[in-house]
Amino acid sequence: MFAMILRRLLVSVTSLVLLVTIVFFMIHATPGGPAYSILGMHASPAAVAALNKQMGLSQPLGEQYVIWWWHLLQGRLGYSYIQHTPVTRLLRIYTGRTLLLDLSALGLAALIALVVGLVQGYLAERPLGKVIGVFQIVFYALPVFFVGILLIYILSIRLNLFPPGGIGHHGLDSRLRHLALPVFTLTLPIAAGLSRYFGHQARQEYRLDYVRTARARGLSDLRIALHHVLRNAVRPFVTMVGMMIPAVFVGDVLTESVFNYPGLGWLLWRSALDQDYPTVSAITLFIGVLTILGNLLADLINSILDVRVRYE
Amino acid sequence: MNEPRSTPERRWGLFPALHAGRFASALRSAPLTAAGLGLFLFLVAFSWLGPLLIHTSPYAIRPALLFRPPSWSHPLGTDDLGRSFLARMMYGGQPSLGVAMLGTVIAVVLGLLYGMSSGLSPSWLDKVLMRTLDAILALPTLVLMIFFAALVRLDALSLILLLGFVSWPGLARIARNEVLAYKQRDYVLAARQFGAGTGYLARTHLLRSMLPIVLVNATFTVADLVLTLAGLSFLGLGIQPPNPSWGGLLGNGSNLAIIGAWWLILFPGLAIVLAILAMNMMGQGILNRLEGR
Amino acid sequence: MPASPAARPAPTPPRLAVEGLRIDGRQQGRAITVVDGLSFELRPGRMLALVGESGCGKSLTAAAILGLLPWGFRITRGHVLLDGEDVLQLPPGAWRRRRAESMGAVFQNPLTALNPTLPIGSQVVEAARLAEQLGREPARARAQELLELVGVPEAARRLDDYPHHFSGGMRQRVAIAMALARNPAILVADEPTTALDLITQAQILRLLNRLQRERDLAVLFITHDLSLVAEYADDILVMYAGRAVERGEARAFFSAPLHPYSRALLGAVPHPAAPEERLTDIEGLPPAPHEYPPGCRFAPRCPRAGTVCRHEPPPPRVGDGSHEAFCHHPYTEGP
Repeated sequence: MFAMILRRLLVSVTSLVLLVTIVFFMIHATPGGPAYSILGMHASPAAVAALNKQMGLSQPLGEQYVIWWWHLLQGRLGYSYIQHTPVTRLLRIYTGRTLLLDLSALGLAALIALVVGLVQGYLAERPLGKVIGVFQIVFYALPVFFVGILLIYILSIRLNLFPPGGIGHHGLDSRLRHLALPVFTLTLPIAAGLSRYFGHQARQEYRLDYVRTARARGLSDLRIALHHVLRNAVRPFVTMVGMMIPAVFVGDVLTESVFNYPGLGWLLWRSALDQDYPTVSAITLFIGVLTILGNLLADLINSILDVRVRYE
Repeated sequence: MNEPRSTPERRWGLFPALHAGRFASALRSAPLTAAGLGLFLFLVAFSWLGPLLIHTSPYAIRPALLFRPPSWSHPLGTDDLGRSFLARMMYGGQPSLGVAMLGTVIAVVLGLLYGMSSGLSPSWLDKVLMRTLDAILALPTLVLMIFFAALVRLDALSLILLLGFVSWPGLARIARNEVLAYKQRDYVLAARQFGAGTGYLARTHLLRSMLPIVLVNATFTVADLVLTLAGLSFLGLGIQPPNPSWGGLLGNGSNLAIIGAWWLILFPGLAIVLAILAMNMMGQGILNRLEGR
Repeated sequence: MPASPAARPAPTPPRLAVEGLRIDGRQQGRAITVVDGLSFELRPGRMLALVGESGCGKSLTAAAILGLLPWGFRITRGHVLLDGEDVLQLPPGAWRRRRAESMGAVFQNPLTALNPTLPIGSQVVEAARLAEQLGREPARARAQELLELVGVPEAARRLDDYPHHFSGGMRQRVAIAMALARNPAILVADEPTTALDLITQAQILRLLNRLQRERDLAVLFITHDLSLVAEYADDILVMYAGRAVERGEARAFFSAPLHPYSRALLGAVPHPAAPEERLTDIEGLPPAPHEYPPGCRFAPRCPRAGTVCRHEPPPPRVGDGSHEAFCHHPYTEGP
């Protein structure tokens, strides 16, 4: 098991190295280059050259790549010319809020998906099971920004039940009231997607003979669901949760923008509008790293859940 | 062959519409696909044929007609500048759907090329290519698009190219897995035996066998790109005003929500939902047939 | 339909009696009757072999007795008497408990019959532990005892192994142990050897036979392979297209099968003495439930069918007293 974890770690490190390289080339392959973004499209060539020199962008690509790595390993992610502050500092401020929002939504969605998926697997082809399937497709097709606005329009503007955005003041009550709508909005599509996958998985499990033998032995439906089916389906489920991470970040960016929730997604959005390229590329990279780490975590949980998992 | 469901003949048989032109009967036997296709055709007609019927400019500002709710003379109301919202919705459908579809074409081509090359490569190269794919997949498509939007100003053409460019990895993974599955099939081995080259095999047997599953995933990709583009335009980073797009209209409407102009939110939002739903229904319908349910 | 051979003195009362069972269901929007007018009895210490081609309703019959009918299928007529009590009249929870304590079941696929994530020891006694509030140590002892009973070597050492550590045959033994955990009076085995190789098949059959004698079990053995059960079955019931076509004591049945379908099934088995002899193939396929013919359901494929067969459902014809067939033109001489 230790060797397996080590190998899995190695795979993640490889992915990280590749990710960093890809982001590096994305920055440098962009026509015009970062200098134009900072100085504007109509900057004079001389000004661009001066800035490139100042930022080390006039050196050969290979050299820049090495420097890029050197800075990354020191935790230097660049300097925001718009906000006049190191990007690392920005990340420190905004990451916590995003993790709070995303992990709440992901956890809630996972819980919903587990219950709905098991019920769906149990019901299989029955009408109610099909109705659940229709709801999943519809909810999955609902863009978070549309749902978010509808909720703001109905619950905040019309009924005045929840604040329309922000993170609230000190005090748990205010914080929670501000968090409620964003978390709910972000949870919907994740829960729909996750429960659709998991429902499919549970249906497959329910068809297997061990469920039939368990029924023949007179075990109750609840015991079969929790003790037998869930036991078998939990590992694919953890993998699915890991696979949802990129979708969570997409939903996060849009949700934070709709609700003016100042997290990483909101910062990414504002920085993109301001063409604040160091901040944007740092956040892009950071989200990629979080995704890879999330998948690694899912794999590690799985290998702890089942020591018999063998690395291919 | 011990897996009858996967022989190419049977797989083609699942697409009588493509195979023998029996379109109507094929759709009757797949109601979900038919419903999705109908919905999709409706949206296409709305966006491209609609403008021919109403003769109203989506750009004409009418200060006397600000924020009119839907009525007989203004079916979908007017916006904050008094422009006909029906006209803006119709013209807005063109980039919202067109860019997504063209982007998907690029994604399919790139994905097939990459995936098939990877699947047909020696295993060490396949591993490298797939590991690279994993790294790219760690970057969510919308985040990538925002990244590019921050560096360059995006017009319709660059949006098509970039959307195609950020969404091929999923298709590449599928194409590669299909290749690996088919590489060992008896008829492929038989073809190798009589000396067929890799390129020939890729063009004839493999491409043909994986077409259905690629088609399914292409419809899902269109849905994803409609959503990504709408999100991007909603954020003000995609199709730029005054050019209308459903995502941009929704973004504009959300800024005006406080005024109570619900129609500026509801109609573009519904259009996006219907477009995504239509593509997902088509894809799921075909998938159900493929899985033999 | 007349009750089963009442003339014959019954040595022991049946553990389970099925009377006039009818199962209805839906298939692609059509209402279908998959089993119709089926009656049989399971007696202690005896094995009844329920034989037929796939799709004839034999597995659904087993599912009906076990209360495992798939959704959409229902028992619409008839009785299932467990020790004389009509269990179909019981509330669902009570029936489930009755089933669990008096019946065990083994199914076809030993690879999926066991939950891959649970050690076999705990799986074998799970039902018993829940029902009898068995403690940890007594449960382990019971599991070991059961595994020894079904011939799992070094049972004590293997309690904590997972299903994937076992071969197909061994897994089927474990599945049998699991079925016997609550010491049931009845064992339902639905094609338990079909997925196994020939040698393992024979071993499992011998095991079932031994358990049946030692524990006075009433066994319902479902199979499509008549030759498989020739040696061990005490009674035979042949089904075709949802109905019984022939039934009786195994000895009488094998010495002179009455129904053309039974003959065809036996003919489809190569005789060990003359393997080169041409098999009597049955022309055509069994009909689907929605296209059952009005008269004898075997008539379209039957070499002896006449006009009456196509219009009149056949009455029971009694052979040598312990044996009857539903046929207008039964064979009267030995094979």
